[in-house]
Amino acid sequence: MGANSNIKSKVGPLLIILLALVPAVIWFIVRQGTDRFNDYATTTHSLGQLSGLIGMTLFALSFLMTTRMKIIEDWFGGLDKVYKAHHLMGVLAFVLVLFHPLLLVIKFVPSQLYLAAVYLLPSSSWPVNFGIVALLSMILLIVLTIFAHMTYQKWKVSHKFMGLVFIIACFHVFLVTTDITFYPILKYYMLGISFLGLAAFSYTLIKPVLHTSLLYEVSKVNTQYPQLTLISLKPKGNSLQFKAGQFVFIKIRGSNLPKEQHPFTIASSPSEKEITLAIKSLGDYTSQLKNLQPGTPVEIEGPYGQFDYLTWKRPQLWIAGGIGITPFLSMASYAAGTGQLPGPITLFYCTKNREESVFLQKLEQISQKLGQEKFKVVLHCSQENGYLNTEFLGQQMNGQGQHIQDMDILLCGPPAMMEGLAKSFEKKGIKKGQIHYEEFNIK
Amino acid sequence: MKTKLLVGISLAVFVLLSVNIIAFGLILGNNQNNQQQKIILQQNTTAAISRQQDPQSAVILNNQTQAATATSTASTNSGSSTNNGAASSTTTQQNTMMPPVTTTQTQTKMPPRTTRAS
Repeated sequence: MGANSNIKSKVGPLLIILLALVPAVIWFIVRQGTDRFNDYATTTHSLGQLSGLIGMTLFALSFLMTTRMKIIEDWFGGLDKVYKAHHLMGVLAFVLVLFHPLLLVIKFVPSQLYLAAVYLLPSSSWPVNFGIVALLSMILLIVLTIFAHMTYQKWKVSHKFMGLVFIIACFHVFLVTTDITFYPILKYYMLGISFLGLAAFSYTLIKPVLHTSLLYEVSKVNTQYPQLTLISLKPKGNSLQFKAGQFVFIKIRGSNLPKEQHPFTIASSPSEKEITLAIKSLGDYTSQLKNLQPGTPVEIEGPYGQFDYLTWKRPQLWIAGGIGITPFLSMASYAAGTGQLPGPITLFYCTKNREESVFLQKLEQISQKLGQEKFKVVLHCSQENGYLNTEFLGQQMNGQGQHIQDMDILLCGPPAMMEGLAKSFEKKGIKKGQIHYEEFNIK
Repeated sequence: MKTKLLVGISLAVFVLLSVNIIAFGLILGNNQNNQQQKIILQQNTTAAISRQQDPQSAVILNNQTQAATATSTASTNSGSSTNNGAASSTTTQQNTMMPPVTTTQTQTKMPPRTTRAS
């Protein structure tokens, strides 16, 4: 099952690479026998055309990644990976589209510099002007997305304008006289891909009206821990069916809070009727959640994520950093309730100090219920013992008669911690397929 | 971090190249126009001065022009369609071999009073 899911999660990236390269292959076939790479001028011109074709295809496909469709999530091995791919595709599309006009005019440099300058500036040709407008708007939005430190709400609104940029870019692609005009197969492929991108973008716009979310209401708000809010939600109709370790998007209605969706991992067990979210105050939105009142309606969309401990069948090493404990809380609670364990599990709960380890007591209770040999909890405070490292983990596991090389490793925590540990594990000879992680940072 | 770097470098290259191409392209384009106009002006001035200083050569030049026009007209009138084409092509060749702008300017900017005076 684990191997199957690993193979399945590679389908998405492979499909995207294939779809992005198809226009280049078509271009090579239809332009056979013509001047393509004969000299400097034709080579740079051809590269300009290819960068435009591949860039536009990636741009269109990146919209598919934002639809949160189950099939796409399966192909990538989790929604966090889908958004990671979306981010990468967007950046690649941007770089390719950015160099598209430069590569087309570079043949005029230096002998006909005036022609090159005129080509890059707006003219009486509207198809070319559409391209210039789309490129400049894309530059503005990408700079805002990557370099400006905007709030999640503002970032989301600004990102919606990418759809408009894509529509303007489509006008450029199909109105300007290029190979797409002369070769029907290339035209129909680009039309298909553009239609897919536009359909995906339209779907994300109309999704809120389609009522795909479930209605819950706040039943309890626990603010006893500093910087942490525990919100319990009870269903007002159908309840959410989810697996331990999954996350949902919530939208709070009828309060002063912003109305956009935010992702949070479920901390409670799937066998419980109510859903509990453990939210750390990290920004404007999360800091205001402690003011929520019982009875406030909440829309829940999901579940998402494929961080399911029952997928993997070897003994498991769980490593949680700070608020990254939430999926493991759900898994441990579910294991305690159902007794479903793939093998012995050791959880390293990493916090700065003991005061931050607010879920330790609950986890120790679960450990007592299941038995230390089946589920063991180890608290690791960085202020006392330094940062967790693979040598320490190896020694600890050897002390229990286990070897990390034979275990599945599940990580959840700050990105730097996960990245560092994953690299160290790989250096120790642990295969990538044995290391599983969930990334919180979807933005 | 890697994507930030990639986007940052790409943007920097794009801005640097496009701004330079546009700026230098427009400046050079402007300079070329100015130079062309300068050349035209210089040639006109030179022609005018030479006419004033040496009216004889101006007459010769004028006569030569008139003769060429007459020959061209004669062959156009008397010749067949093929001859007509040949004569026309000769005239055209003469025009194209010379810098086109200069030729036009010399013909149109020639002061009519000087021609009449000669």
